[in-house]
Formats: sequence, structure tokens, C-alpha cells
Amino acid sequence: MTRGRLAAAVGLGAVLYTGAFSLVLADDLGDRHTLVVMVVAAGLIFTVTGAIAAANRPDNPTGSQMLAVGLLWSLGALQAADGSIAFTVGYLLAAIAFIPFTQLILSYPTGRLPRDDRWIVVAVAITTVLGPLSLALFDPTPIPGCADCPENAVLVSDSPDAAELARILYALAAATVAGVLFVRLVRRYRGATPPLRRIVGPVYLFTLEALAALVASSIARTFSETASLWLEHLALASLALMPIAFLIGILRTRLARAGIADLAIALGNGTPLRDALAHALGDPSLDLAYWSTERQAWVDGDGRTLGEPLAGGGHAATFVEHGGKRVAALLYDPSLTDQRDLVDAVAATAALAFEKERLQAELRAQYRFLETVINTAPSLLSVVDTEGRIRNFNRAVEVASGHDEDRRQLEGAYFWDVFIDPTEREEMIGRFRAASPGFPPAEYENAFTDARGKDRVIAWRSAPLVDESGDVVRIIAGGIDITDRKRREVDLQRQRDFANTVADTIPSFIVLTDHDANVVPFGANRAFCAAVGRQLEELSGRSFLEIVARDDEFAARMAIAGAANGVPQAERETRWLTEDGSELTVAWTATPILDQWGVARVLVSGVDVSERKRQEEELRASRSRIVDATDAARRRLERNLHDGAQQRLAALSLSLRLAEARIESDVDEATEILASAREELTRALEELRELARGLHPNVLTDRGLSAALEALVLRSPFPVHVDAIEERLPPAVEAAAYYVAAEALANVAKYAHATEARVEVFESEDGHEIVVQVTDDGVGGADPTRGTGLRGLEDRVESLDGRLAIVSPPGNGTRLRASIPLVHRALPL
Amino acid sequence: METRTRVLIVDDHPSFRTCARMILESDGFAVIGEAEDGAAALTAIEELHPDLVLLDIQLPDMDGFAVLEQLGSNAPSVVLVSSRDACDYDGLIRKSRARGFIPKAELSGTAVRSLLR
Repeated sequence: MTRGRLAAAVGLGAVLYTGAFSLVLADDLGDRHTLVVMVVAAGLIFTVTGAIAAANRPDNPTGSQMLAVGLLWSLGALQAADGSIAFTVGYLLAAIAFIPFTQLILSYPTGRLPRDDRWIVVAVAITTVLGPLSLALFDPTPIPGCADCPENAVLVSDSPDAAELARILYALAAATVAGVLFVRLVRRYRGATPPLRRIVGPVYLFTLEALAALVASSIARTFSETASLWLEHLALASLALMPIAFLIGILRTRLARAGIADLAIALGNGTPLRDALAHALGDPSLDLAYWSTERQAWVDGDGRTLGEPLAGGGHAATFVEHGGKRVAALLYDPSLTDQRDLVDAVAATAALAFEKERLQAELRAQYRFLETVINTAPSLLSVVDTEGRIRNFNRAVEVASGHDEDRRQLEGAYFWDVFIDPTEREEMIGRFRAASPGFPPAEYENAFTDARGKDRVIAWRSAPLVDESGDVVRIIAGGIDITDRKRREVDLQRQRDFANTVADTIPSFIVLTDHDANVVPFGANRAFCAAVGRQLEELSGRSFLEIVARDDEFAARMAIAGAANGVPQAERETRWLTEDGSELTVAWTATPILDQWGVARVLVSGVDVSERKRQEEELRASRSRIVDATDAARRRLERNLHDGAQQRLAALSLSLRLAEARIESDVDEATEILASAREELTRALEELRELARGLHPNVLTDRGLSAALEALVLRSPFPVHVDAIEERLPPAVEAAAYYVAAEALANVAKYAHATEARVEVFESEDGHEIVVQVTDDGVGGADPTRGTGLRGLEDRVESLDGRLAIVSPPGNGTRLRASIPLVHRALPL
Repeated sequence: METRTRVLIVDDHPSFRTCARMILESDGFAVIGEAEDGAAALTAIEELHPDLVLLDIQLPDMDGFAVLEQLGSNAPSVVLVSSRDACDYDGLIRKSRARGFIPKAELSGTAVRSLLR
């Protein structure tokens, strides 16, 4: 409301109330006189307080609404006029002041009528206009008890029934509207915040009291005019006092400003900022937010980040600035929004304190951040004093110590009592004391058993923390729990040790090379080093191909290259050269493999097959000799048959034919030829027998080794003593033993010039072998490598897994000894 | 009168030479000499100029085929003998310049003449 309009309204009010009071005071109203005066006085109070409020808070419509109520109120005084028209107008307009009054109540304290409440104002308007009018149409004296009141100017018909009906309807409508207003105000009060309640409380109280009194007065009128009159007095008193309540509410800002001085004092006294502000604004729900420049976000007093927007959720916000920057925000009850000045004044007063609080909040936020970081970090962080006691620590320390459910066990405990194994504790204490007072940075690892009995390994680093004077006041110890890593390392080492032991124990050769066939450091096993006669260290970096025979080098290079390209190579046999110049035949493969660092390597693994190859060669040679010997024996037999028996039989055939031709012409000659033929036949038979004996002595098959040897020596040109076991042996063993003895004796006869010989056949001590031993007293000097006889015997004995040994020193006889297993195993092929 | 064929017997077995001489002489051959090995045979042929040489294939120093190869172009007829079967030497006999082969047990004047015709 502008100042001009306000002045006009005040002027109008002065005129109206001057007139009203002159009417009321001049008139004799009997019992109702006091009541009417009170009515007019109440209207005047509304007018005056409304003017004051409108002057002080022109932005709030409440003042002008009160002024409207007061001005309209004055019209009721016309009821005291003597003229019929004036009286009737006064009567009809006496209640219309309730229209702005209802709006005033429902829009308080903001002055703005909620949309939902408009119908109530309309209902009040209808009731206060139509109610008195309908009564005045049928009742010549519409004001009860006013017998000398002027004539009702709008009377249509003096109808007591119609008048009674109109009165009842008016009363019912008024009671209904009052009831609605009553319920609305009670609900609004109950839903109000405490600061709002404090503002609207007195106004609602007076309104409800006035409404209740009016309704009660209407009801009481039916049985007691006096009671009704007193209740009306009470209602009017309430109405008259109501403007005071309005005024207090409207002007509370000015009142509250007086409290700002108290706020400054309270802040100086150290009262918490929020409490001082809540008190100053009368809003216990007040909250504060601080701007964190580090986080670029609003935080609360404890440093917790607040969500946006700040206002909302039942709070309005005012921002506090310091040095041109937002430092804080007041979050207060929305009912304070119409007291912006107050809030701003409070905010300005507390700006410095806000800045301090903001810095503290930011510090707390940073501390909270650091605390979170430290406690969520997997690393152990502990602060130890110069005595070795733990003074502060993070969550990881609690967990690693095993005291994670009772951190008090750690507070003040000696570091070594918690983290050092008892056996190493004294040493640790000694080291700690030796480091005093400088406590230079240190690193160490230690294993211990935590409070839960779990073995742990921690890698620590420590550094001193010095004060302003440079003295060490604390030691920061940071650690990492490396238990799992250590365990993995140990497992890995164990696996490596196992693999190395296997690699160094197996007789196979293992060499690890790069793609150029160079042996990687420590890339050869013990068997390989031993086989090639080189040290592990000297092999590192040298080419594997150096040990391969020149003829095989190309193939070996190709195999390594193939494996380096990821293609496993088939086994091949290659000659390897040893340090002493000898050769090994090795069957080996080259396989692509990743080493422990994931680098592609070539694994050369092989076995020494030299001995196997030699045995195979020997076996092949032995077989060949056996075949040759067999062929020679057959040729000899054929020659013997041809030269001997066959010739004699051919000659015999011719002799018989000659005898046949001569038997008639010359009997004597025929007889002579036949006699010659008989001798030839006898010799032929003898030769055949000898041949058959040479093939296989019949006596050996029939009567065994001992008897065969006895028969053999009968034909010897020198004495031979035989001492042989009597029991039968496996046929192959008997045959081998017989031929060893026969060949040996034949050699003695041919070369030894012996006077006697001895043949012994006996079982070895362990019973596994038969030993054939032939000794003579001849010239000795027999050489097994010369001639085929002894070599043939060697083959025959070895074919039964036996051994042949000859001791034949020149001039000192010969001893031939064959050992033949009784159960021979199959020869390796 | 028909001239008797003059024969040289070459064999290392005396008993066979004796029997062969008796059989051939009884069948009308004139045995003019004997030799017990290849070298002696070549010498005897050189000296005696026999019409026929009864030559054993298996001799101690060389075999009968070697003796045949060393004989000159005007060599006498040669009949090979052996106690072995003819099939043992079949190819060699056919390739040689010998008149034929007679197993020792079947030696007779008739068999020799049949080869000389």
C-alpha cells in the first residue's frame, strides 16, 4: 500500500469512527450500549493497528487487510442512527467486515490467500450479506431486544414465521461457516512449523475464541438473553484484542532485530554458531551449510557433502557471502522467508563466524577425506612415539594385528609387542633404540603371528616426524601385508626347486636355448653338463650348436629354428662332442616352451643312446658272425661230404660196375675190385659218422654233457682230464658248454703244444650260471681277436647272455672260462 | 684198325682215377696219363696232347672251368666230371667249351663217346 493510499485510508477511518462514536455515544441503546461501544472500539483498534502495520511492513498485505476490516467495521455503528434508512443500512452492513476478516485470518501471516481457501471467503460473503437481508425482509425488528430501534426500511412483510425461518437459516449458515473456519485453522496450526506456530498461534487463538463465543452466544440466546449477551461481549473482546496479535506477528522482525545484538554477544561468548543463529531467528530447525572450495560442494558442519539443491525438503536457504564469495548458507524454516531483512541481518552479523566455521568445516572435510583414504587404503599406517608405543593407526593396522575387533589393544601398545615375533623382539628393540633420537628412514620385513594366530609377513618403511625445533616427536611406520605374496613366492620357489631337482636328477639331458640356439643362463641340467664335460656357467650364452658334430649341425640348427617358430620337432639322433673330444650319440627333441618370465624358448631334451647304439652294433656284428659261422660250417660240411663220403661212394659205384663187368670174364679181378670196394665203403661210413658227430654229438642229446665230454676227449691226441657236473642242463646250455670245450680243446691241439689239458664244468656259487673252464699247460699267448674260432665261441656264449674270458699269458698255459646263465633273458633288439 | 682215343684223367681222388682208368680202358679208351690238380693237368695236356681230357670240376688248386679257360685254341676235347649233380653247374657247363658233363657214378665209355660224337 502506497503512503498516499494509507493516508487516505487513515483519513477515511478518522471520519468514519468520529461519526460512529458520535452516533453510538449520543444514542441510548439500553442493555446493548456497552456492546455497541465495544464493537465500534474493536473496529477502531483494527483500523489503527492495520494502519501501523501497513506503514511498517508495506510489502505485507496483512496491514491493509486489517485496515479494510476496521473501516468496514465502522459501518455497523449506523445501527445506532435514529433514521430508518441509516439504521437499516447499518444493520445490513454490520457483518460484512467478516469478509475481509476471514481473508485476513486465512492469509495470515503472508497476506496471500491460499487458492483452496477462497471458497470460504465467498461463503462468508454470501452469509454476511444474505443473512441479515433475509431477516430484515420479514422481521420489523431484526435486532433482538431492540424495541425502540428505528423502523426496518426494507421490511416486505411482517411475518414472524418467515422471520424465524430466516433467522434459523442465517444462524445455521453462520455456524457452518464458522465451523469450517474453525476446522481449517486448527488443521493449519497443527501442520505449522514451530516458528510459524509462534506467529499464528495468538491470532488463531483469539479467532477461535471469538468464533466459539459467537456460536455459543447464538445457541445461548434461545434460553438466556443475558448469557448470550455476555458471550457476545467475550467474542467482541477477543476480536478487539486480535489486532494486537496481528501487530505483534507483523512487527516481529523489528522485535527480532533487537536480538541481533544478543547474537553478536553470543558469538563472542563462544556459543556454537548454529545455536546462536537458531536462537536469533527463533528457528530451532535451522541448519548451516558451508561451501567447500576444495570439493566445490556444500558440506555440513561435520564436513559431509550435502546434495543439491540446498533449499527444499521443508527449508529455505539464504547464502552468506564474505569477501565477495559465498561461504555459507542458512537453511531455515520457510516461514522466515517474509523476514528476509532479519535473515540477511543475522547472516551479515555472523559472516565472520561463518568464514571461520566454513574453514573449520573444510578442514574437517579434508580430515574426513584423509581419514577415509587412510582407513580404506590397504597399506598399514601407524604413528609410533619415540618410546616405540603405537599412538595412532589405520584400519589396515587393526586387521594386520588381528585386533580388528578391539582397537584398544593397540592403543599405546609397543610396536614390537604387536608386530614382531617374540624371538626377534629383543633385536628389534635394540635396533629401535639404536636409531634414537634421529630415527632415520628405514625399511625392513618381518614375519610374525597376529593376535588371531595367523602368520603374516609385513614389509615396513618408517620415517621420522619432526616438530618446529627439529626434534623427532613421532615415527610414521607404513607397511604392506605381503603374506600372500611371500606365500606365492615360497610356493613358486618350491615348484622351481622341485623342477630343478627333477631336471638335475634325471639322466636325460635338458638344455634351454633362445631362438638362436644360444644356451640361456643356467639353462642346462647337471646330466647335460656332465655329459659334455662343461661347467654350467661357461655354457651360458654359448651356442648349443657348438657341441653338435659338424655333420649334424645343419639339421640341429633347423630343429632349433623350427621349435623357435612354435613347431615341436620330431626326435632325431645326433652326435654331440664332449670336452675331451669323444662323441655321444644323443636322441633329442626340440620343443617350444615359455620360461618362467613368459619368454619364448626352445627346450632341447635328449638321452644318451651311445651305449644302446654300441650294443645294437655289437648285436648286429654278432648276428652277422653267427650267420657267417653257420654258412662256413655248412660249406665245410658240404666240402667234407663231397671230398669224403661222396667221392668214395662215386668211386664205389664205378668199382661195383667194373666188378659186375669182370665177374664172368675175370673172377679174380672182380673179387679184388669188390674187396677194394668194401674197404672204400667202410671208410665212407666212418667219414659220415665223423661228420654227423661234428654236427651234433648224439651222446650229448642222449646222455648229457658229462658223457659227451668224456667221449670227446677219447679222440684227443693228448691226455685230457674231465670234471663235469652230472645233472642235465637246458639243451642250449649243454650245447654251448660242449662246443666251448670242443673248440677250446681243438685250439689246444692246434696251437698250444700242450702235454695235457683239463675240462671243468660246474655251477657258480649263486647257482645262476654254469661255468666251463678249459686249462692247458701249453705255450699260452692266445688272442681272442685273432681267428674266428674264439670269436665264434664268444658269440655263442653271448647269445645266451653269457661271458667268455681268456687268460693266456705267453709261456704259461691258457685258461678259457665261459659263464653261461641257466636262465637267459631275451636279448635287447 | 680204329685208333683208340687217348685220354688224360684229371681228379684229386686216387680211387676215382683208378676206377675211371679201368672203366675207360675196358671200354676201348687209351688212358695216357693222370693229373691230381689243375696245374698238373695243364702241364700234362701240354706234354701228352691227349684227344680227350676227363676233367673233375672240383680240384684243389683251381676248378675245372678255370682249367678250361687256360687251355689254348687247339686244346683237346674236354668232358667234365663231378660227384655233384649236373644242375649244380648247369649254366657254367653250357657256357664252357667242354663237350659235356658226366656224373662220376655214371661214368662209362658209352657215356663219353656219346658226348664226343
